[in-house]
Amino acid sequence: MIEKKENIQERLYNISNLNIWFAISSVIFFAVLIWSFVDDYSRSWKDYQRDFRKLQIEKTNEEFEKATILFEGTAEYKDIQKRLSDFKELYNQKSEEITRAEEELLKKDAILYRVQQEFNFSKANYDALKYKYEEAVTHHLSEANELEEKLEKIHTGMLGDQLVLETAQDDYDEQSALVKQFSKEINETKEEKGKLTKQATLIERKLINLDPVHMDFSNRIGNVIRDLPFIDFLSPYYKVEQIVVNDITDNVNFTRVPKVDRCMTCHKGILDQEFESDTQPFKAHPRLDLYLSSTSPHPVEEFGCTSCHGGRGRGTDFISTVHMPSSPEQEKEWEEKYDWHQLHHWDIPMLPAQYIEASCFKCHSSETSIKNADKLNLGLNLMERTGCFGCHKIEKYKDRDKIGPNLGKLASKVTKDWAYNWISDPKSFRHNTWMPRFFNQPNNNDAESQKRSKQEIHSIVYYLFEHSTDFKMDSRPLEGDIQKGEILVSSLGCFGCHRIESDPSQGKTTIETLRRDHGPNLIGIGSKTTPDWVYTWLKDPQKYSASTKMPNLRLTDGEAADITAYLSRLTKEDFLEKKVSSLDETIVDNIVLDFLKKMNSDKDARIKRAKMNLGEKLDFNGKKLIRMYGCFGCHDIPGFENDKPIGTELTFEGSKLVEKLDFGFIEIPHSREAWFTQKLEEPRIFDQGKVKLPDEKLRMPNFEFTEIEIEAIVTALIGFVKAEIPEAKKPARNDRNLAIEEGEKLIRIYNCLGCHTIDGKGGAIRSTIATWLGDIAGSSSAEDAGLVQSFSPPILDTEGRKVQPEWLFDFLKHPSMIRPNIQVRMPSFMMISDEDWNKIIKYFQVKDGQTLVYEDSHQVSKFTSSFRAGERLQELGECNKCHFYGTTFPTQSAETWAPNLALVKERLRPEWVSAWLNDPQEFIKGTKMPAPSIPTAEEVKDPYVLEFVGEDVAALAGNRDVLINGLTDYLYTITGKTDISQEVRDYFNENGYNFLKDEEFEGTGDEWDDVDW
Amino acid sequence: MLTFILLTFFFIFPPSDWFYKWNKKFKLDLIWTNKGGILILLGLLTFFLFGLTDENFKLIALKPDNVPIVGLIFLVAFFTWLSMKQATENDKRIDNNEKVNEYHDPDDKVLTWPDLVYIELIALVLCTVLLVVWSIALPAPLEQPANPTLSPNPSKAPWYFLGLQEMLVYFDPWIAGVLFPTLMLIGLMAIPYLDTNKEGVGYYSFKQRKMAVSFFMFGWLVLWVLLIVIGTFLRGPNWNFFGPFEYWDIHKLEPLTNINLSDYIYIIWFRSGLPENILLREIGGFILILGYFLILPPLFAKTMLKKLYQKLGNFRYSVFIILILFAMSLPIKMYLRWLFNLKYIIAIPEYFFNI
Repeated sequence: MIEKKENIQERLYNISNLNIWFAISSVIFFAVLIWSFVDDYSRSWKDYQRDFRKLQIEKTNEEFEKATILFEGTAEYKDIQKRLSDFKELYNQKSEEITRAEEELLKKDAILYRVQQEFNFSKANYDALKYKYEEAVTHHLSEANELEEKLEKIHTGMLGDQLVLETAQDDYDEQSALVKQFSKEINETKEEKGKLTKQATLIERKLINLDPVHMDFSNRIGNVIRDLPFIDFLSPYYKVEQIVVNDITDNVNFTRVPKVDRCMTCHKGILDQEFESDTQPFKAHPRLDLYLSSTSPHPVEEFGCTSCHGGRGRGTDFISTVHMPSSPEQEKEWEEKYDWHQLHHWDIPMLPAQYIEASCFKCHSSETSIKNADKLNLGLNLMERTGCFGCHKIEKYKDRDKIGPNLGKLASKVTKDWAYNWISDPKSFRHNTWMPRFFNQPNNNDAESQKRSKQEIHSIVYYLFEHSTDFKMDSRPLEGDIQKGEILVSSLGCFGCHRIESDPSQGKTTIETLRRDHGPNLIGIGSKTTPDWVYTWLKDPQKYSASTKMPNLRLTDGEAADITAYLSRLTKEDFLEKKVSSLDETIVDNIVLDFLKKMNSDKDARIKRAKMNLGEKLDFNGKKLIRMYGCFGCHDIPGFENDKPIGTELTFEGSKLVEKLDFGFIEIPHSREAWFTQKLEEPRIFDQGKVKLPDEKLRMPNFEFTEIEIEAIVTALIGFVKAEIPEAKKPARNDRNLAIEEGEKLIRIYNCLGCHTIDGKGGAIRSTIATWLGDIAGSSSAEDAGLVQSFSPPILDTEGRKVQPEWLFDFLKHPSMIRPNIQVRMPSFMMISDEDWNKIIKYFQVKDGQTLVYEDSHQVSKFTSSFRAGERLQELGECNKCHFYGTTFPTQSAETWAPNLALVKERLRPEWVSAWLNDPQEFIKGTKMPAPSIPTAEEVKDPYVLEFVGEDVAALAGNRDVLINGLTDYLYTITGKTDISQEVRDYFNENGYNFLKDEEFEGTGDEWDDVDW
Repeated sequence: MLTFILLTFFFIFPPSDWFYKWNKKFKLDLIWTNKGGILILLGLLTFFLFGLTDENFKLIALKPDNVPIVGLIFLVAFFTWLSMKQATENDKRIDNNEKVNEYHDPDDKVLTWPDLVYIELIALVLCTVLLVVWSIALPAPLEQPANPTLSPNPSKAPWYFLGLQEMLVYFDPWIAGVLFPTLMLIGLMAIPYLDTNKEGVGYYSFKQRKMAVSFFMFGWLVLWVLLIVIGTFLRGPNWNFFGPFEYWDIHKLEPLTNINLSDYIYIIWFRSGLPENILLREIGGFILILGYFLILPPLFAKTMLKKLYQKLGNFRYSVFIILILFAMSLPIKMYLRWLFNLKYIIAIPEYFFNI
């Protein structure tokens, strides 16, 4: 047996030691457990929500004070308060009476209750007996009589009870009204007060729920308890807010999971306009009318947050949601303030603020110009203009034409030397050309590569000239006048698509500036090609290049000669003087060998090469090089008609994983945006430090974009994503939207907005019209917006409603004069097919909500009184002061000339004409057309007015609509020659433009006197 | 590094007297004293802390997935040292004709509570504390949804399979993935039947169980734990070898052209083409392999392992030697690869038979 005193020694271990160990380890365990709960409970978003609550309380308190000030201290409020206290005093005085009345009321209530009960009983009895009786009548007639008697009795009894009940009810109501009477005035006054303080009361109610200081004691306790650890699963104040968007999903390979956005956990003020000037994260979303609110097109329940902003929706703190800084400065700030680092394991980080418009594209991809997404629109427009899709396949632009000129007849246009120097350095000839630079780039500007490049260019030029087909040019019939040419160029409308600008310091690129870059900058043309070529081109561009976008201006020989003379004077001597390096056959041979060795062994390649003469070698090289550099992506080149673009497909570039981009040895942030930006700045920079053979080198040429342009293009590029948005969320693909898309696409392709204005956009030519007016008629003419507008191409805002579609179709195919004073000429776009014209016409109609039904010609009866009234109104309005009536000239001078009214019946739609006559300014702001004066019923009461306007008009005075319709009807009967262009031209040839000089003469019109028009 | 370890290994764990002599000469059993243990611990700690100053080392060593392996290194070192210390102590006591430490009087018993269970309870609490602290300090990493077009580089097996993944570099998948693991299991199962040593049962001893301990330690520490450590810390993108302070560059390219034995024999030595007949082509390989497994065992039986052969008898010895030969084939193949760029000893891709 173990002895007690040897207790300690019988154990293997010392128990008191073990006890100490156990105690220590238990305490540590407990502490660690507490730590784990605390770690779990303390979330950063709770801090933000606490801060937000404070902010809300502050704001609500301010509001409350403001609302209280409104009524407090006002006389009205004081009066109400006084009345209230008076009435309360009266009430107190009558307190005895009131108490008695109330007691009486209670008694009556008790009586009522009892009587009610009695009635219920008797009615129940009656009903039961009635049933018995009815049943007896049907089944055992013998008892029926007995029951009938009983029934009678009970019925009488019931009726009696009912009467008693009604009396008691009346009594009660009377008494109740009596009691209410006492407090009537108090209640009314309280109501008044309530109306006055309503606003403040509402705010106070909000405050009570919000601010612990305003809560009563039990609520304050509740306020604390509801957020305690453990218990906070019941009904916490501080909780995660999330939006689950079921139909926008993320693909996780074996299933699709709906987007869950918890952004509003910290961004609590995002939906509330009153937080619009607070700092993040509480700041309200900009343009809540467009985004997030339930009345906007993008309600937050339908779209969530991450479908536009990217990021990790399920995250609940600053880093795990993958917020991305928008600049290196912001990155530093975030690193300091929030210990920020990019969360690497997330493929779709949040879009930095400057690229946010990229997300618009995934739903609005088929639109040409997306509302409120200016940067994106600029990026897309730049892509279209620069022709990115020529080398990089982009689904949206897969059917677009190549953006560069057709090189099939190059030999007839330029010399070999010119072509050599151009390919070598395009911007040395034209500073804002869209043609990028292929040579002398960081990856081919060492001495050996430069030598090779020179021979490459020789080969390419040789190929192009060798395969250039013949082109018979028209010879100019006369020399042409340079000054006349200059005026023609600045007035005919060339500047809607072209510039003549030799100053490279341009302003910012915008969509508006791009309209005048639709065609090339015409500086230096004289040094590029021959006058005969220019003349032939001007007379018919499609003769040289069938696919050109340049329309036919229907120039006379004289006009064409004049313009040619002017343009041929625009030279660039220093470009012509550039030396072209000589041909080096050794290097040419090396290039041939390199290409041959790709498909042959070294021995075979040398044999093949030996069989070629110099011309054949150059031709061979040229062909291989054109294929390598992908020139056919922008230019039509003989021999390359079916070749495919050589670059990476960009249709889903925004979804490309960053890991798939080759950063080479360049140290830039590891993100898509940084890579694309760097690539556009210096496309070949990723070759830096690499050892590459000539044909392994990067080939993308340098477009020398500005920073703004790069940011816009990158925005568009990262918008090209592979997102699966359900069709119901995208803009509807109904007839109307499709027609508008098609129309806008064509309008962009043919640059209609270079001249015309539609919905406030376009009209790029206007500034040049102002310049031209300034040149010929003094600077004040240039500043008169109305004058400039009247000489500018028309505003096409309501064209669908305005013109008859058949007329429009004919006009577009064969433009004729409408506005006699305008010098700008609507060109003939011979390259647009009938189908495309119809698309444009449909666009206008659909925009104005016109249903596309066949419209009969407007039938007018000349025998109605409204017609006669209309005729009289036309006389009174003296329309012939400004308008042509067929070949009858207007009575006023040319600056007020208005369209030929003989055109009305075939051109305009009567509904539009009536609306126009009602208020012209509604349709074309700034138009010179006055609204015809239609007398009202009041006015014709005056006998002088009556006599003046005549019977017909007077009879209908007051019926404004009928009178206007009558006037419209009259207009439809005006006959006469419709095409008066010859007459107008003859007039101007005779009389010149002196009318403009007379208007606001500033003494600069001297040039005009010398010019013989 | 591996060469150093291989060369010195059997001096630290001498399986036979010959090695033992050298062990004594270099006083290597001082490793197993308390001072030696502290030295080992300090050495590991210094290396680790010094390494943490380097950015690349820190990235790999502190990755939440790799932290347990760091712990593994320390724990394996500790337990090896502890058991060898007790073994050498016991050996000393046996030499002095004392009873071993684990010896106790058959009548000497202790009670389960508190001597067993209380200790266990305290250990339980402390383990739980460790786990809770670990889970708070190193949360489990959560990555993005898997992308089938982007495999992670490097793709590593779980730590317990890293040894096998390492073997895949040197052996055909059949061998490394099927044959060797099976043999490992069979070998482990066979140990009780092969080990007829009646001494050293129930207490730690090295001298009495030299062969068993050293061979097992070789298989455990070198062929298993070391490969796990290499696989965790020293294998980077594309399964290239990266030093502990080297940046894991995914573009790193090492020239790794390897050729088969048949290529060596026929193309390099004989300078003729490879023969058509498969057997003729692979004759060299067959000879080597058959020689390795059929000639070496009797050779060893007659010379170095004579005593062992006599002790174990024919059958046991055969099984034992075959297993040992398989185990040694891994380092042998590794050296053949590194020194001679040897891919396969026998290469018959037509029948998927490669060794």
